[in-house]
Amino acid sequence: MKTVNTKIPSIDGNGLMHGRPAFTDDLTEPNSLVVKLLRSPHPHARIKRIDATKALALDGVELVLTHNDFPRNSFTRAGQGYPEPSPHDKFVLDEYVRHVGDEVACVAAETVELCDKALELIDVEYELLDPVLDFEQAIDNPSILHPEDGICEMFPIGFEPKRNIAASYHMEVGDVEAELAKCEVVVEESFYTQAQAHAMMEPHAVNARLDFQGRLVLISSTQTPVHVRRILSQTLEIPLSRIRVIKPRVGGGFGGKQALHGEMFVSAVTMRTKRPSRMVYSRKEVFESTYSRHPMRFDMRLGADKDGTLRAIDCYVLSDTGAYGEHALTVFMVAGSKVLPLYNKVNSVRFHGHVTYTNHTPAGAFRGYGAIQGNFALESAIDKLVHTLGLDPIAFRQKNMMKEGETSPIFAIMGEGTEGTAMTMDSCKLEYCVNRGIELIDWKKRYPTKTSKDSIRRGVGMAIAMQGSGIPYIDMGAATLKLNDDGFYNLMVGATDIGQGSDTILAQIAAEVLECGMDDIVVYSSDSDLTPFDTGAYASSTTYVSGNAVYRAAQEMRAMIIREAAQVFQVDPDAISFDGKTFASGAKTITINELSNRLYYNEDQKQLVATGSYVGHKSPPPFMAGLVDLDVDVETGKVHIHNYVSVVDCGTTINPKLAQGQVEGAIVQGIGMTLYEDARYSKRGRLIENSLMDYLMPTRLSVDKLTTEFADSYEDSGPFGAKSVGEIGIDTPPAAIANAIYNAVGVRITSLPITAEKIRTALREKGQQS
Amino acid sequence: MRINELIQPTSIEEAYALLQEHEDAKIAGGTLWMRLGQHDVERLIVLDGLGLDTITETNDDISIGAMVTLRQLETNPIIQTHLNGMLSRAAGSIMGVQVRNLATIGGSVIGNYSFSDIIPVLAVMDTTLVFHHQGEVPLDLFLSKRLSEPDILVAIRIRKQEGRGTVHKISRTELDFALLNVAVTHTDRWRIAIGSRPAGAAMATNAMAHLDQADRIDDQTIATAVELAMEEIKLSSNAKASQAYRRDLLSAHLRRALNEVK
Amino acid sequence: MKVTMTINHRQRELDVAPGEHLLDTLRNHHILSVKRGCDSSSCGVCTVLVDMKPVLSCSVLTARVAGKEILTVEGIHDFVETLAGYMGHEGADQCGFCNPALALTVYALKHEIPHPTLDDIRHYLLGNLCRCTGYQAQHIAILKCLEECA
Repeated sequence: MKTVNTKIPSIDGNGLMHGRPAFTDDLTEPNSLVVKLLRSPHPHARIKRIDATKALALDGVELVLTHNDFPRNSFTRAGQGYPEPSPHDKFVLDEYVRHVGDEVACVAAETVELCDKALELIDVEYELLDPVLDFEQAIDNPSILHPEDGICEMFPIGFEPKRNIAASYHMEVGDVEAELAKCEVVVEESFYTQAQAHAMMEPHAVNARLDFQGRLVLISSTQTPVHVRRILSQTLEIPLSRIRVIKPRVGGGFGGKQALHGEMFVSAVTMRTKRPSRMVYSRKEVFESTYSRHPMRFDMRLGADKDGTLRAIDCYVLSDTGAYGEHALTVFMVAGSKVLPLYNKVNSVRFHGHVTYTNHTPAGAFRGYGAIQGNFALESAIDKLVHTLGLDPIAFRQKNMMKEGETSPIFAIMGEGTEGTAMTMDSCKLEYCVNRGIELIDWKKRYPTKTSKDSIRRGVGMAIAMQGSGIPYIDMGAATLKLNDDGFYNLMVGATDIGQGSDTILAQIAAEVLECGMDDIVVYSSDSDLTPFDTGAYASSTTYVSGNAVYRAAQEMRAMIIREAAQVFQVDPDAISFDGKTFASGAKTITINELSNRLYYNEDQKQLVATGSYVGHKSPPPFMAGLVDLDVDVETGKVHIHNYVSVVDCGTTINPKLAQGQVEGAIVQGIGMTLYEDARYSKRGRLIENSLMDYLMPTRLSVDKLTTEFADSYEDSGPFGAKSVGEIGIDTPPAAIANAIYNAVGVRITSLPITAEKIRTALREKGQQS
Repeated sequence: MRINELIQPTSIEEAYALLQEHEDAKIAGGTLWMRLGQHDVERLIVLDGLGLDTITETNDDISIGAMVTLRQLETNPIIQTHLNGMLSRAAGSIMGVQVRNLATIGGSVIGNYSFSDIIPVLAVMDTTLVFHHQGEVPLDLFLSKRLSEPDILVAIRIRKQEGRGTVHKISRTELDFALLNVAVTHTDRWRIAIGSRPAGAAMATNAMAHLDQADRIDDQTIATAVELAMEEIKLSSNAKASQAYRRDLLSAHLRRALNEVK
Repeated sequence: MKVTMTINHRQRELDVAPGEHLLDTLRNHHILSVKRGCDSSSCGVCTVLVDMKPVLSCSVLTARVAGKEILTVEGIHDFVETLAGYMGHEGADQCGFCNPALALTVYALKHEIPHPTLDDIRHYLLGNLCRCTGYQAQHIAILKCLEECA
């Protein structure tokens, strides 16, 4: 029986389409208190006084909590390994508010309506402070976001709160200035990326209750249940053993649920009132009060010789982490560490910069995690360099890019907040990806442009990308397999399925090893009381890290059942053959059903349980080439995408259809960031695009066709040769589309999103010049 | 937004009497916009089941009940054929089918929203609004001044015309509001309305007159009409688009629209 | 106020507030397939069928659908089973939060346009947002489903 690398339907799609209760708010206790937050209307203020008397006087309002009601323990909402690389710069509630939507007070009441009424009746007096709304003016601004005591970095990350700096970093290979001076051609350009919103369909939700043992039990729409438990325990001073966090079905995450959101508040309410409580974020809260992607500015300098040898890359980055430094340093570093090694033959490369605080909605984890920002800057700059040199963008990349068996010094230098891990690219089919991509898009006929009728210009463009597979020596996954009577297995994983299909592919890995059917594996994810440790669904780690853990657990279970069969036949385990169904030794046979029934009911009874753990010693990058064929209407700037070609090397695809779904979903999310999704602030610091009406995402009509293929690739260290595939798809659209627009109409847009208006404005200005 | 009382009258007369009696009463359309408002509604009068949800035609007129949904406009054969189905297309361009099954033409018109995709199209047709008390009011009169007293919009009446029509809704995505609406009809005369400027629909009177007076409609006539429209139509900036970009859109799309219907 | 309506083929008498929306009514009565995804009538995850027409239950006052037939996926089990098969085959389901609403809208589409083209499908489902799939796999699955089950 073969399950790996086959197109098995996801194990949960059917039940979810039937609408069976599975998501956080479907699993709320009856008669739960409704919890809502009073949020700041100001971008920067100090709370002088809060009076909740009138709210508390309402019949049915149970509780109002303010910053005086919480222990003053600083923490970070970021769900990361411990100690976190994010500064502890937040309090559950604070006397300062630092962005529109920041938390002021927490209300618990019997109904939603009562909660809303109570929020209106809380009287707050603010002292307004000067907001910092321009991240390029944040460093050493007279207005300081975090003047308070009691905040800290967990290890050195360049944290300088008095200068509005959340983190800083610098690395250099060789001498960049000297190398650039020697280059025949140097191009410079600055690029800007915006604060994309995750906009997962299920808003953040959490509910809490005390169980019959008096323990706090949370059901939370989270990507990181064990981090939620740890951070709750440390911050609210509840023993870890008294907290249980259950991750039910999650309606999309994309990194947006890799942090604590309402968990602190429902926990505080339930601990105080002893009553169950529930919280569901409004869509406005999702936009204004969770977090977005880090907006960044890149100052790029590339140096090359006229023959097309890339010699030096210099990259200064300024990143805007908003009010709190969640994932500040790590997203910043990934903008270099998972981008710059693409061009590994340079003599010198520098990557440095700062992450600033501003009075914007915080930034945090988001699929791509810095790599999409860095890819837009680098791959746009490469095309600019290529055009300056008068060379072909494909040939230039083929000459200078990473190839199988090669390495980059950056891997050893840059990790996520710490030093990195040296590694060689044992699997890298980037050359194949580029070559196949050219064929699929018909590059040779179409490059750079074909004029169609009237005002329409058609062009092609491309970019290459890499990502990672988990964080080496940090991201840990574990899996437990339990054999049941009748011969089927429970697979318990801490890995968190958030819609990406990890329950399915982890079951496939177990079924492949145990040679059983998918129906014989019952997956459960995840519950801090029942499932083994796993850092969670982030950093493209599930297939590679958790998948390896499942592989190990299944190998051990396989050895265990063979040993038991050998015992039955009184032979050496080596003498047993097993096909997933039947154990045989010579003429003697016993089925797995018979064996397990015997184990639990009849003879020498015992429970068989196998656990496997894995922590990566490297992070093998998936690679891809993204190519786009599009139209630009020169009179209106409107872009229409005909075809987006992705050729991806993610090692073995455990489930080709689900892998394709990861790539295509990410491509379209990347197209959204490239063309439509904006996050602008009013002069008074309010986020303008704060609803699904104003925040424009790709629609069903935005892209005519997605063409997705996978390279034949095998990563030896991965389960059945697999690498990760969750993030890689999002990286190429910004640069590929910017490059195609340049090829079509001759203007280069250097700030995202590339709206029709920006293209039209650039064309108008270009027309006026000529 | 809270609604404290929901009233379902059994006749329009009764609804009208309630509206006169209670200053705080409001008439419901599809309640899509009302739901998003900040203000509580004391009394909401709904006109369901009063026969206002049909589209009928005579030799001269098309009459659209105020409670006809945008989806009905989109799929009705009468609307689909009149003036190249431009009203049907305008209705079909609004949000998803789930919204269009709720939103009513009465709500779209009476709200007089500056971003309306429907009003510019009605403005280039020969449209009157039929009120329960005041009777027929020409659309342009309604758009130019507020209702003098509370009344109930019963129907939208469009005089049938031979000719051609088109509408260009320019938006950033298919689910967005318009950055600009360009509606043109060419019947026994020309009519051009520009909506979402971002202010409400305005007629390009000089451009219309130029086209009406022209002996033949060629590229030059159209170019001059576009120039005249650019001069007379006031465009401005908002968060969705700048004034300069709206000028580019008007220039390109009005030329294209005029060419389609010449 | 007391209202009577048919929910998933069963007549129900409900006591609702005048400003109560159908989404809240249904979830309060444990019909949990209907989801809330936004507060601006934009996302489509609360879609239900009222007399076979897809509408946003977040925006419909429950009292106004008295006497009508309300359908959620709990009421079209066989069709959901069929569609889910095609979706699974194409790898078109990911988080699944929006899929009950999608199934209902496809059911209405099938009723309204028995032989839809790919373009019909893309237009009809425009109001059903999905952030996971990139849409194409859904369209392929739905087209096949409606072609083969017509």
